Parts: sequence; structure tokens; C-alpha cells
Amino acid sequence: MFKKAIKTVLGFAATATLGLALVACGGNNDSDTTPTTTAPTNESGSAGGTVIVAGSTTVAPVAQALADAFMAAHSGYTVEVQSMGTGAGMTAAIEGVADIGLASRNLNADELVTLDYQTFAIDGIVVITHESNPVSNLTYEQIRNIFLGNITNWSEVGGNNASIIVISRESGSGARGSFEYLANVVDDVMYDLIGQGSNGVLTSVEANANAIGYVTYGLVAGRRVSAVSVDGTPFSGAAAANGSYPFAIGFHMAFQQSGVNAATQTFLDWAMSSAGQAVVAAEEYVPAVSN
Amino acid sequence: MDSAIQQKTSRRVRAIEVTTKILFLVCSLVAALTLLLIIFFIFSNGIPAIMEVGAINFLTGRTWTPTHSTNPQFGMLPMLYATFISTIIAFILGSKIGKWGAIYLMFFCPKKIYRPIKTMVELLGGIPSVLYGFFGVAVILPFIRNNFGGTGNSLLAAIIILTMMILPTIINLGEAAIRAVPNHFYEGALSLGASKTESIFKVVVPAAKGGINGAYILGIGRAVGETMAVIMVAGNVSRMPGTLGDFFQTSTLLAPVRTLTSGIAMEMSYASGLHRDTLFGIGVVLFIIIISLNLTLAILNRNQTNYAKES
Repeated sequence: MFKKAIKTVLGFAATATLGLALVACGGNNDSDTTPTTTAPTNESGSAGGTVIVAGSTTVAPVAQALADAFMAAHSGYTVEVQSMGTGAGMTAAIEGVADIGLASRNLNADELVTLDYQTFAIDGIVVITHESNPVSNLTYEQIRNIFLGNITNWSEVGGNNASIIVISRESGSGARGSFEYLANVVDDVMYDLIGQGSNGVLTSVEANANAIGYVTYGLVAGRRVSAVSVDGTPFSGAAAANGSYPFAIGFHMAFQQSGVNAATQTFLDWAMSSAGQAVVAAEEYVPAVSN
Repeated sequence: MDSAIQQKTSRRVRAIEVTTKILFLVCSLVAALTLLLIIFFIFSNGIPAIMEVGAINFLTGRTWTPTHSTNPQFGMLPMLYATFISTIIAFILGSKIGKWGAIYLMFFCPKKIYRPIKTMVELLGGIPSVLYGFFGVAVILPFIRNNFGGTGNSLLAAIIILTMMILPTIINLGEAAIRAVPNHFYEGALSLGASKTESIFKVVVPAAKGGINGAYILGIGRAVGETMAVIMVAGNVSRMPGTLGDFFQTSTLLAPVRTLTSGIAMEMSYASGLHRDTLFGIGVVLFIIIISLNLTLAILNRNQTNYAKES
């Protein structure tokens, strides 16, 4: 009985230690050898390699679509897309943990020291209100003044007599950075609530009849919110491309200036090719390269 | 012959014992090393950031604008204050409900309903915090919005959620502490002529003080550390909800707040440079708070017999 117990415990402990050891070794191998193992494969043969893509939660879905189409067309390549936020994606690209970082805002000066980028798609940020809100159009200046805190009641812009609840994103969010830049309210924005992620903003706007917020266009479908027109122009791909819609943002792929491995370069080139841009269009974003 | 076999067996047993000992030593070191690694990582990133911002600025600044293009501010006072206030009030409510609940379960509860109540309390303790948050979004926020106005995302919502979350910790551990008090305390008090209520409140509960304090500290620890559920209901704006003087105005309770943990969790994936390091700085402060809580417990219980620990 006692012996049996000891055996069980020993067995468990041995398995646990072995498991730990394996995990530890696996971890070490990954960080030590990824660059060296991928490089020779790429130089020796034309086919294949692993590309790690990481960054903006806004951009990740379209990057995933690109990755899937790319892998279907190129056997031997693996493209892994991780969704972690623009800031974390840029850090990963700078540190070499990821081959490509995804950004939904322009890169800042610190990041541009080590990184280069290409813009592969264009999206619009839409200003959203509760579906019951009668205001369907705002001018650019009205939006600006609402987010600056100069307009605080919906009646000032032709709506109900109710206080405006301004909902923003976290500091450092790509969508927030882009919106504040495009609305020209950088550093001066006033807000009543902060949503966690785009979904947090959508949920809060759905719950508050007098709320206003912003998310990227692709996320609005199926939610109980409405996207307001800006200066009479609703968001569309054409309006974003010709500049008549003011809140258009670029989706960027950032990579090391010092050069990338062959697999990464193949993927970067393919994303800008007509095949890659067709995937962008199929995902209902505006292609960055007009073919 | 016999002794040779015996020797062989005992050698084998000793070998097993030594191996086991080493294996178990490694297992216990995993936990200890994890703690040291976390301390090292948080402090090595956080302390330089605190120095750069200035400790006084960091702790007492009221403006948190980490991404300001020309003059970023890293004042964490609103977050510290929100954590402090929400924890204190949730603790005042939760500790009373929890302690009296535990006493009821232990001394007054009919056997028939003890099991169901106890099981439900235990289950409540095992529910993932995101589900508490979901309950908050679906029930508490609309309730506050409809009855008091505003958006519902507020300090009040955070306090309600935290009170609910620390209840199971306090009830379960409190009951265990009271149960661990030897029965003769209770019987002795009764036989000396004390009433049931007197015996419980003047003899048994004071004797269980050590364990109950432990339950309180763990409850506070949970309230300070809770992240997900609070993010979902608190509104997350890093702004003072009112000063101490006008605290009991409803506008203070209905103001959105951001706690230390939600500050870290919300911005970590978007932050870079000094902004990211100041989040580790918040981690340092959080760590010091938790350590102080545990020290407080140790000091409180210096002269207390903890029956729960002894049995």
C-alpha cells in the first residue's frame, strides 16, 4: 500500500519534472535558434520558412486572411498571426521576436529608428452613436468639438436634450492614436468612459443611448450602433481613397530596416501584389495599391 | 543471506527516499524561484521608470496622459485612490456580511439548508472573475443607470462587484477558522452560564480571531488584485472621483474610476518606452501593497493562536 503510494508519487513527480524540463528546453531552443534555423532553409531552398506576424488587434483579422491565402498559394510557408495590440507588435518587431509588426496607426519616431513599414490596406474609423440616436450626420468641426468637450449636449448638434457621453479607447491604442490625429484633438481629448478594446467601446455605446465613440468600420456590422456621416459623407472605400472621408487610416506592416529573411520578404511582396490586394478588397478594406 | 537481502532492500529504500527528497525540493523551488523572478522583473523595469518620473510625481500626480505628444504625465494617484477606496468599502461591507454569514453557518444554520448554502458559497468562490464582470455589465450597470443616472460604469459598480467577489473567501475561511476553535471553549462558556449568543460572540469568535484576520487579508488581497471584472464595470477613466471631503456625494460614487490593476492590464499591450515601464512602476506599488497586507496580518496575529493552522 505504502510502496504503491510512493510509486504513484514518484511517477507523478518524474512526469512533472520531465514535462518542465521539456518545456524549458523547448523555450530555450526557440529563442536561441529560430533565426539560425530559418536562415539556412531559406538560403538553401527556394521553398518555405516561417513568418511570425504580430500586432494590432484591428489589423490582425485582415492579416490572417492574407496569411491564409498566402499559405494556400505557397506550399512550405507558414505564416503565424498573433493579435496583441499595436504597441506590443512594434516592440516584438523591434526586438526581432516577430518578423512583421502590424500597426493601425502611424509609426512613431522611436519605432522608425529600427523599423520600416509598408501600408497594405486602408480602413476608415467611423464615429458611432446608439441606434436610437436621431443624429445621423455631424460635421468634422462638430465631431472635433464633441471630443474636445466644447459641445456637451446632443441638442447643440440637432439631437435630443441630453448630455453627450464620450467614449474613448486606452492610451496607446492604435485606433485612438489615429482618430485623435485625424480629428485634430491630440492631447486635448475629453472623455467620460474608456472601453477596453474596440469591443468595449461598442458595448458601451450599445448600452448608453447618449453615447458617442469610434471604432473601425469593419466592426460596426451587426451591432446596435449607427455610424454617422461626416460632412454628409458616409464611410465607403471610395470616399476613403479619394480623401472625401476624413477618418481614413492605413494598415501598416513594419519590419526591420536591417533586412528580413527570405520568407518574410516573400510574404511582404505578396501582400502588395495584385493577389494580396485582392484579398484585402475581399475583406472589405480599401487596397493600398490600385491595380 | 537474509541480512544481504535486507541490506539491499534498505539501500533501495534509501535511494528512493533521496530521489524523492530531491524531486520535492525542486518542486518547492519552482514556486520560490517564480516569486523571485517576478520580483526581479517587475522591480528592474519599474524602479528606473519611477526614478525617471520622480517618485513624488508618480505617486501624487493626478494626471495620467502617457501618450501626450509633448508633455506626457504619469501621475498614478487617481488609480491608487480608486483601488484604495473601492477596496476599503468593499471590505467594510464584505467583512461584516462574510463574518456574520460564517457565524450563522457554523452555529445557527439548520442542517437541512447548511449543505446547499455551503455548496453555493464554495461555487461562488470558484466562478471565473470575467463572469462576475459579465453579471456586472448585464445587471448592475443597467440598475445603476436606471436608478441613479449616468452611464452605470462607476466606482459604485466596482464596489458592488468587489463585495460580491470577496464574500466567498471570507465566509469559507472564516467558517473554517471558527470551526477550528476547540469545542470546549463553547461548552465551557455555556457551562459558566453564558447564553448561546454570549458564548459565540465573546468566547468562540474572539478565539478564532487569528484565522478570521487571515480571511480578511485574503479578501482584501483579492479586492486589490481583481482586474477583469473591474475593467468591465468601472469605466476606466483615470481621474479623481472626488476628494475625501466630498466623498459621500452620489456624484463621487457614480464617477468612473480606474484601479491599479486595470490600469496595467488595459495599457500594457499598447504601451512602449517609458509608458510601458511606468506600468511596471504601478506593478511595484501594487506589489508593495500586497506585501504590506501580508506583513499586517503577521503583526496582527503575533499574539493570536490560529487554531485553523494548528489542527
